[in-house]
Amino acid sequence: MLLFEYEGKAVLREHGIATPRGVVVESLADVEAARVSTPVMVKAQILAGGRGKAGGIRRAGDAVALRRAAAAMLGATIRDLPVRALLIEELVAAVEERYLGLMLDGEDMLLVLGRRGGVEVEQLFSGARDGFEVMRIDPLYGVSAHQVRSALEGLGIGPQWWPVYCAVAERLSMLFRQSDATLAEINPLAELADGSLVAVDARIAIDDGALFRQARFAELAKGRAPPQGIAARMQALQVQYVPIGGAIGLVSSGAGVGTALMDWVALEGCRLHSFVDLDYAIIGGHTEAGMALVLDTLIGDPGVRAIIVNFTTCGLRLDMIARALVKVLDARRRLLTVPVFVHLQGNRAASGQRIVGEAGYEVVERLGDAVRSATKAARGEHP
Amino acid sequence: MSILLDGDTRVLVQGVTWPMGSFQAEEMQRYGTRIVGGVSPGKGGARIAGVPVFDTMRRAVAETGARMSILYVSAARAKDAIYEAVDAGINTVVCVAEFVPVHDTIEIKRRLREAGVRLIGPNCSGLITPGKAKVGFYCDEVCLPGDVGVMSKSGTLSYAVLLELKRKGLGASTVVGVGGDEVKGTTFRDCVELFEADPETRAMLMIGEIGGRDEEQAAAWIRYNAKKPIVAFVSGRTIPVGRCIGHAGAMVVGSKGTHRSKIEALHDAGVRTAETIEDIPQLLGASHG
Repeated sequence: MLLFEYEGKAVLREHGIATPRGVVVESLADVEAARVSTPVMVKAQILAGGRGKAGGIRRAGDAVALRRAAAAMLGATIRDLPVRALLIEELVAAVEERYLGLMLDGEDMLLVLGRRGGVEVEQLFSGARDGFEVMRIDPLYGVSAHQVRSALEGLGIGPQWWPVYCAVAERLSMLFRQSDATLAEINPLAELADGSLVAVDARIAIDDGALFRQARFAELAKGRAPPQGIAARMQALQVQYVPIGGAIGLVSSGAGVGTALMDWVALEGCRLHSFVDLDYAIIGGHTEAGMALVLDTLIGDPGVRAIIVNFTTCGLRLDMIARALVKVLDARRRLLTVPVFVHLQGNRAASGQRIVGEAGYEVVERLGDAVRSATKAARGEHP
Repeated sequence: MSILLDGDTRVLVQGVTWPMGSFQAEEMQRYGTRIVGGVSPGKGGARIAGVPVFDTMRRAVAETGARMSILYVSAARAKDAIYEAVDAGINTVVCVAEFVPVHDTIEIKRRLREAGVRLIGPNCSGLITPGKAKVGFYCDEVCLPGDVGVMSKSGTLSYAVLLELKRKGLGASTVVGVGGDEVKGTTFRDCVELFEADPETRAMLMIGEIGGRDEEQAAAWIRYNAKKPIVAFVSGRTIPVGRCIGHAGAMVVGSKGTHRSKIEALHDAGVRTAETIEDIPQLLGASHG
């Protein structure tokens, strides 16, 4: 999970890394009550980069400007995300702005220092390393001061700054491991005239797999605005569902085979309606309900021209899956106006195929047959 | 003899009293795997699938001489269960659990490397030496015994691919499900090295996926060391950059882990790549002669 800027900054402060003084507001009443002294920066709290360019970071010189900025941003949509909170902060008189980040790269940790702040670190993995120093670090040992000094030397940042940078980087490294972080980025990190450093922004990602032992972040995750509409219903049944927008519906289990089907349908010139993985739904006891929800979603979309049902599985029993499938399909027989191609292979496949075939549905022999038949139907050709 | 696993390998099932653990213990045993016992703290003395359940791995290994274990425990308990296996003298641990914290996997991997113990997974489908034994989810229906060494990041996709091989009469020496996380115990590079040295493996098949650098790292080894023909399929070309769809590890960051980078690295190493899974048998046959 990605932390909001204000959540990330609270974590930084707890680990001894300075941030600007600020207050979080969720309404204009909060703004009045906060009685902040201007000028200030007003920052939309959304989980996306590029806020500045999208109008999500504004300077307010006086109380009127602050109210105007807050009124414009609260409830607005920036980068497709609703703005529910603002962080109002004192201005930072930076002498220089730099980039400091820690991230996992496979089993290594990277310490990245950038001469200039404000850049997007994804560039690093695109080969544009000008102005960056990247140190490969053993995450079990964490950042050691000499690695920070080497990076600073490489960027030509004067030795008078080295002790404060080393302290911030070492603290960030502690935070990284203690919080099960996969990314901890201070961008920009401001150098002040008094020789100190201040984290002007914070982007911290916590490993979702570790939330069982990160009670505090688990609590934050629970407080996040829940998904709405179809996403909420899919989540309730543990169906992995990613809308794509194409004409081929998918009812399937398994992340890997779903991904391969997404590619294969594209090679045939079509797109999936959505990526679907029913594995967790089935293991969680929602086999029928999960299948029904996905099918109803597909039936309800007039753009869907054909449906691929695929269960290629060894860990799950296909006879049980087939029975559930037939029940769910039978209940929608009159609503199903598009062709459905069923591919079942793996554990107890013979009985699974027989159950579906005897119920009158088209069972295809090979996964490729399902892809070809469905894409032909979607293109309006008769298979 | 295939790699890592054969009919003589003595296997323990950790977490055997969980429904998934006992069901899989029976499935593995039916297939021919030499399951010698199970472990579940506080459940010692019971019998499941006709074999004894022990309270600790220490006792289980001492009494059975097992050298391999498979875990059916939650991701939160994976680290402790793996260390218990290592301390008991196990030399290969298979972890199928999904969502093991990545900081744990990094630490586990380090400790196992120092102890000389192999980890397969996490978030994997296990392994099978067709006709002899399986440790994990692979089932009889999908594969034949044969001479192709198979390695895959995905379970379900490997089943689909194995079926394509089976249809053309091709079988596997061993199939290794390396797992769908970016950080994993046994990598493609490790598998390629093992298969290259295995006299019963004629050719290799790598079922890869975007994200991480496993395919590129394997390619770097293959280029100068592999003599056997190798075919690869790389899934996920239509997953947009920065999006996570499917496996946790199947994500492109900037230009790291792209389909193109993997295909280019594999081609440079002399590996032939398949457009669809249906092209794979022919490429394996073609590279035969």
